Amino acid sequence: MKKVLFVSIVLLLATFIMAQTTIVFWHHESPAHRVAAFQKAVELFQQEYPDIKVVQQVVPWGDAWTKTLAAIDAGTTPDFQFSLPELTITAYQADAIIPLDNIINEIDEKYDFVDSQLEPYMIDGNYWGIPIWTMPMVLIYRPSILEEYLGTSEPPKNWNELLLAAQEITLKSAAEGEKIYGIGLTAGNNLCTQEQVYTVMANVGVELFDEDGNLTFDSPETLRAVEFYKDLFKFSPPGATGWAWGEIEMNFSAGKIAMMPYFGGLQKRFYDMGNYDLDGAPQPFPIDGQRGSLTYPNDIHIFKSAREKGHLDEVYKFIRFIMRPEINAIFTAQTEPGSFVPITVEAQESDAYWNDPIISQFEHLNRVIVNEINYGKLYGFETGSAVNLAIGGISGGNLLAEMIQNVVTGKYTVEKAVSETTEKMREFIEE
Amino acid sequence: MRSRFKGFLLLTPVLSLVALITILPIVNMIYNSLLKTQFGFGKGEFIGLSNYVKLFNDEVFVGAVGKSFIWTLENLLIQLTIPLLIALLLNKQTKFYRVTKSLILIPWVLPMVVISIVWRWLLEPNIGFVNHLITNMGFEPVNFMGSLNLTFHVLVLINSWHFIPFGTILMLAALSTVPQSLYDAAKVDGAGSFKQFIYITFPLIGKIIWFVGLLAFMWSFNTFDLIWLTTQGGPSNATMTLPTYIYKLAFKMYDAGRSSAAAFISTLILIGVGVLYFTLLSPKSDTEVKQP
Repeated sequence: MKKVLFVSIVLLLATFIMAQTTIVFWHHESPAHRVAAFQKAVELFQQEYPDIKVVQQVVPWGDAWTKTLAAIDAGTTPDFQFSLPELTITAYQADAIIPLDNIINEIDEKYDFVDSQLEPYMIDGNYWGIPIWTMPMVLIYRPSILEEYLGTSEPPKNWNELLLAAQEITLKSAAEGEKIYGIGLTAGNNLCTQEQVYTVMANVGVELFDEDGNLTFDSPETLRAVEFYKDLFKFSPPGATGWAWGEIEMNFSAGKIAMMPYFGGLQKRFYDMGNYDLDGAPQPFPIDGQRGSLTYPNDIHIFKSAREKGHLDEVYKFIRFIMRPEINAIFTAQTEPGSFVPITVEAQESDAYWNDPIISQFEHLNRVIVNEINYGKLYGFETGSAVNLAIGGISGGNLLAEMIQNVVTGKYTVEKAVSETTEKMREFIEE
Repeated sequence: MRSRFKGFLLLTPVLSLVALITILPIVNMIYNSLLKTQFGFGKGEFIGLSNYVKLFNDEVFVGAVGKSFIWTLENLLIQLTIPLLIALLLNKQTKFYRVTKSLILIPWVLPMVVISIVWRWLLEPNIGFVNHLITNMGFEPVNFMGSLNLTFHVLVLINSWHFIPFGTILMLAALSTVPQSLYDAAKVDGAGSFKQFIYITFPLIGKIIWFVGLLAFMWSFNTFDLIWLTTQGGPSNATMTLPTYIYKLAFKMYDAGRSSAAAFISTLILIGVGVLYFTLLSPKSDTEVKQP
């Protein structure tokens, strides 16, 4: 009798294990709290779908491109991957992913995507990535510093006000021996610099390409934006020519910087420190310019291997699950509050997002951030869809950052830096 | 004859394995260097030597080759002299000998990722510890990591700081093999410390110095992680060496063809310098002691 019972249990277990499908995904958010948030969503999904096992594998952003390409070459890709437009373009160019129009239309009907955030994933008439969250840049600032040196906690609204405010804070604090800098701008050879410089470029309508994919970068608007960045950079801390995310965040948190165009992701650090001296405003723009900023949508793309393994249904189930507003809030408010922002109208209005303790603590800042998505663009995608796939290499090659380095280090004039960068972009396109 | 054949037969599996893991990637690299290919796999168009022509017309690449040589020379200079000096000091067998020998190893055991991040923070101009000391002494903060003229040399120092313990330990080991009787005899003959070093120590540890030099050359020339993690070749390509540019071409600019061509040129440079190093600088014997 015991033997029969034992065999039955083993058979039952074996049947259960064999009936379970395992899907694997990669993401690149390596900090522990982000991994934990991903796991929380995975566990909730598995409770609802016990026949599907979901495995998250963390590949840090620094290795994302190399490992993705190596996996494509070796035929060892996961079922799907969290991504950025450039990485999705790379995977598309490597012929490794499948179009996602059906699932996007389904989610769009249900939760209403912010249209501008879908556009970067439109290549040759199909969507190749489904946006999960987005990252808008706004002008974040320390109200107490503005209050102390400008006599108001009202942030600047246009370029002139921004330049004057940055100058006044820097000079006044230096006179008091404080060394607080009016603005935080980076000029390191990295993505952080590109994102900041593009935020400034968006204020005067710089476009890398026109609707037909022709290069339009060398324009009066670009010259104006770079000139302004150079002027503003004078009131940024010394050494910012070598800065990336870590340095600028640390300096801002240490109260050495009053304002900076940046993502809202410092909220968690401030919240953990019990410091609520943090707010945000729309990115200032010139009086004759336009309201605009950078938004970086993050997506999921699905590898062909998922289809070959017969895992597509399971992957779609997972995507439908995480796009539910209450679950999506785990990927935004709980993964990186203020930095990762809901991308569907339903999720943007959901209580699950706004009731999060950090989001509600910095509610004004987060309202500004969510609203800024409507004005956000991504460089190379200004006219909508991916019109020129060379943007992957242009972005990866840090051409915008290199241009800014050449200007702020005094190596080149603004005109020469812009024309040289345009030439390099042209080389990418021709190749 | 039969036993020689047997020997070759026995060696075949190992030789095949060596060929597989060393020669095959090199052949693949050369093949890719003749193609127009984004990622190094999938379809590629044969374009002959165009990638090489483009590279030699690319001022960043030409600059990177020059910087790689300067980088290697500066590193070699520091990585050969400082370990030797430290080893000579430690060889005195003071009471702090053991503690110092252990402590000095710390930089060597640290992973380069940690070293890069620690130094980036230490040298940060606004809140970094080093600049804190500098400004407290009444000087202006120094932009160590973002300067066109300074950053390259700062990275050389950090790279050497990492290597010095390893070189020191090797040289200390070599020094311990020099018989004390030779120094005693030299003292009797009236030789001072300097002459003892020139005529006894240096010839007897010459082979180790040569070996340390070889390792320092190869490791320095191939340094990638430190530069990428601190400056990514910036500011304005001031720290862009060959390995950094090869990586950037392949994985940031998606030009695997041109990256392969650059990698092949780098391989040729390494082989060339290696051959020169072996033929010109190889020590003849480590047992001869010159007569003063």
